[in-house]
Amino acid sequence: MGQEKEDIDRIAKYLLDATPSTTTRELYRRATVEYCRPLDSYEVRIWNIVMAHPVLLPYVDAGLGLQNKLGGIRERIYVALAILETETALADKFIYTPKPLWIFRSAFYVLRGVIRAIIGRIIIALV
Amino acid sequence: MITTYDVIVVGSGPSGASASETLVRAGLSVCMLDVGITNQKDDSTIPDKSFVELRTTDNNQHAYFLGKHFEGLSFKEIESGAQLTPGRKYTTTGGNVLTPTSTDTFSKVESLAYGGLGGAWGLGAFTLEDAELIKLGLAPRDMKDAYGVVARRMGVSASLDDVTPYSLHALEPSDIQPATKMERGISALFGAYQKRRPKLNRLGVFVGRTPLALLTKAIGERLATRYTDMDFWKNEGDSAYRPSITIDALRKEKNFFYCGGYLVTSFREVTEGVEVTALCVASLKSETFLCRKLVLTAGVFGTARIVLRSLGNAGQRLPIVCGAYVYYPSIQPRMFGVGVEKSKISYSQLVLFLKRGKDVLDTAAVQFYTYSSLMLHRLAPELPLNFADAQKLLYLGAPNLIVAGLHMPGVRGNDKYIELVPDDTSHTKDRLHIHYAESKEEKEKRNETERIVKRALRMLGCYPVKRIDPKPGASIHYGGTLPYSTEGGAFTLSPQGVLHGTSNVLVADASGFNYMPPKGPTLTIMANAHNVAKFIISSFQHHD
Repeated sequence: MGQEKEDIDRIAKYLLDATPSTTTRELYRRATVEYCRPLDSYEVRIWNIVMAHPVLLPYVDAGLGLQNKLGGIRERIYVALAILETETALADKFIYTPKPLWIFRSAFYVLRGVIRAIIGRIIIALV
Repeated sequence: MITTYDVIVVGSGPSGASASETLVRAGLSVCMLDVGITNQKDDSTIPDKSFVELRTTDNNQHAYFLGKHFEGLSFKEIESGAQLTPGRKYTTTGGNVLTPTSTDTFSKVESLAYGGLGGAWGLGAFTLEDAELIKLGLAPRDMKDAYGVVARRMGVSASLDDVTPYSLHALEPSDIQPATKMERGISALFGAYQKRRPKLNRLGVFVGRTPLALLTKAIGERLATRYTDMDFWKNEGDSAYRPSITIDALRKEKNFFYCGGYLVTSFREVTEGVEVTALCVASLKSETFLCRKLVLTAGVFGTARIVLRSLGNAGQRLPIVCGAYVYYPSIQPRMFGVGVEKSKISYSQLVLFLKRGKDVLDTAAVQFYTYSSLMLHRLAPELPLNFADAQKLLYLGAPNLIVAGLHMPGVRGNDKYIELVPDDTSHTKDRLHIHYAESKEEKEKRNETERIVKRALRMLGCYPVKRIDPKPGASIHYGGTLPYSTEGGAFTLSPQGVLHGTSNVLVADASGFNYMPPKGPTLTIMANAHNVAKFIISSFQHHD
C-alpha cells in the first residue's frame, strides 16, 4: 500500500489538515483500483509533480477545476474526500456546528478558491 | 398442463402492486410475472440510529454511505438516478442487459426491481385536479374513490393548507394522517411565504406541505417515522410506503402467485384468453403462461416493448411524454449560522405551485429539499472551486442549502417517440430507441415558467446559485406511449385501460396518460391501476 498511503496522507493534509486512519488508507487504496479510472500520461506527469510537491496540490486542484473538472486527478481527490467524510474522527469537519464569523469565513474560502484557481491555471500551463 | 390464471400482472411497481391487491382481495387468482431484482444491500445492517449519531459513532459507516464497492460515488456529469444511494441502486440495475436502450437525447430510468421504481420513490402523494385528470384521459368521478382507497392502503400524511386544492382535493380529511413535523429550514421558508402570501398569490404562487406516503401514525406492523434523517438509506419500520410492502403481504395469500426471474416479452390472444411469453432470466429460455386477462404494469418503456413485439410492425413508432425538470441548488441566508437539526426527515416537506392560468399546462410544481443526509462530497464537484475550499464552504453553507426541484408539464410532439429496432446482441433480439426533442414553443414556455419561479424563490428568501438542467427524462415521469382514446385505433387504450384491438389485454401504468402533469403521478397511477382492476373484476362477474 506504500504509494497510495503516501498519496492519501498528502491529500488528507491538504483537504482537512488531518491524518487519515488505517481504514481510510486501505479504502483509498481499494478505491483507486476498483473505482478510479487510470490517469493518462499527461495526468500522471502532473500527479507525480504534485505528490512530490504537495504544496502545489490546492493550486493544481483549483486549476483543473476550471480546465478539466471531471478528470482523473480530481477524481482521486474527490474519492479521498468521500472516504474521509465517513471517518468518525473527522465527522466534526463535515457536520456543521455554529461558528462565529461564518460570513467572513465563507467569503475567505471563495476568495482563496479563486486565487488558487488563477495560480493553478498558470502552473498547469507550465507543466 | 399449464395453469390458467384469472389474471397475469406484469411487473411489481406501484401500478402492479395496486392492481394486484384489488384483484387478490376480490378472490381472483393472480400471477405476477416480474424480473424482481432485489436489494442486495441489507438495510438491516445499518444500526438503528439517526444520521448524525451514525456519522459520529459508526466506524463501519463507509460500507453503507459509500457502498462496499464504492457504488455511492458518482464523479461524472449529472444524469437520471445519480442521486440514488447505494442501498437504492438496485432499483435501476439490470436494464443494460435485459432491456437495452439507445438514445442521445434522453436520460431514461427504468426498473426491473422488486417493487419497481417505487423502491426509490420520493413519496410525493398528489391527487390531480379534475381538469388534469380529464386531460390525462381519466374520469374524475371514478378517480376520487380510487384515490381514497389507495391513500388509505398506503398511508398519506399531509396538512390542509393553500396547496390542498391542487395537491389533495380528491381525498377526505379522514383519508390522511397528520403532516410530518417541519424542520427549521423548511419552517423558515414557509414562514416567509405566509408573510408575503398576498403578493405571491397574485403572482399565481401557492405554497404548502407536500403530501407524503409516509406514516406519522402506525398502520398494522408499519411504524410511524422516527425522524432519523436516514430515509435515503433505509426504510425503518416500513414507515415509507413501498410497493414491495404490498407484494410481500400478497405473497401470503393463497390466490397470489409471485413468479420472480421472468421478463415478459410478448403476448398472444388465444381462445382461452391470453398466452404470455416470458424469458426466464436464469436459463434465458422462453416459457409461456396462460391467463384470462393480462394486465401490463411494466412501466411505460417495459409495457411499450411488450406491446410493440406483440402487435407492432417493423418501424412502428409510439409517442412519449415526459415532464420537464430542472433544479436549483439555492441558499436561504436566514439559516446561516444555524446548527444541524438531528431529528428530521429527508423527504420534501414543502411544495410550491405556480398557477399562471386556467389551462392545466400553465401549472408548475416546485418541491423543496434540504440537504443534509446525502453527504457533502456529493455536492463538492458542483462548485467551481478546489475541493478543500469547496468542502469548507459546503460545511458552513449546508444548513441553509435548499434544493428546489421544478417540474413542468410534458406534452406530445413530433420529435418525441420510441421504437423497437433489431439488435442481435440483445437477449430479446431488439432494443428500444428513444428520440426526444422539445419544440421551440415548449422551450420558450419553460423559460418563462423558470423566470417566474426564480422570482418567487427570491421573494421567499431562497436564492438559486446554480441551475442544473439534466437531459429530458430526468423527471422519471413518463407516459403517453399508448394514449387513452375514446375513438379506438391501434396502439391506444380505452378509458378503462383495454388495449384497442385486443379483448383481454389491459394496461394499468402511465402508458395511457395523454400528457404528463407536473405533480408526482405515482398516487394517480396507483389509483388508476385500482380502477383497471375493478373493471376486470366487474367484467368477470358479468361474464360468469
